[in-house]
Amino acid sequence: MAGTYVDNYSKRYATNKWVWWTERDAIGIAKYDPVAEKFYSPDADQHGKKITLFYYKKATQFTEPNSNSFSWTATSDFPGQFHDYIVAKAIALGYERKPEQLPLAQYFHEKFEKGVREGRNYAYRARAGTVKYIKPVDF
Amino acid sequence: MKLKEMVELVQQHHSELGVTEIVKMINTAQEEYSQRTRMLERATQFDLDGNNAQRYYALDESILEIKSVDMEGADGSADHVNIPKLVGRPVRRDLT
Repeated sequence: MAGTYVDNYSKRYATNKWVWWTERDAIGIAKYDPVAEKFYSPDADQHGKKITLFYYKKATQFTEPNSNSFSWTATSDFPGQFHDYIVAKAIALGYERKPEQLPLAQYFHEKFEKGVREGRNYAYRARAGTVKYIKPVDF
Repeated sequence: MKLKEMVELVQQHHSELGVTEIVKMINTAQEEYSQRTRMLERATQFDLDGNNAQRYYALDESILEIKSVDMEGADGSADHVNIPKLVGRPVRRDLT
């Protein structure tokens, strides 16, 4: 493989480093050669090699009624326990249009904010459960 | 909860709004929720185009933030291994 070499000092197999970065709505992938301080694009040796991106995504949008793919039975990407908070935000957006009902908008915005906090906790725990603190007891 | 139930819940407060408008508001809510909670995680794959020495690959609009990247054969083995994120950008730009 281009860019690989044997480190004669440590007698270990080593490679230059492949790195990634983002720029102009694209991901850049190149091999960094720290000795020459240069970046090299993938060449024929890497052609067809798989890149796997792990990422946070936006929620899939519901299609509107004038679309052929509109479905009343479509469901949100979020787990069911968070759907109420999505609805709360939509209700708040509706109340924002009525100046006399801004307090109601505020109420539903706060409900949404509570949902954001719960959602962040859920995402942080990644379904692995909470860390439980066990208090030591001196016998 | 199905879309129909969500729309009906909003209509209990805003009976004057049409379905299209409510769906738009639900979509706005969903977008903000996904951006702020970073709850939805996915993985996707693509192939490197080494024959054209392609360095940049367009990102899908649905991607909010890349968590990590694996590359097949990055360490000389056949494995898919994690590659590090570059801090900043290469000094010499290449637009391929």
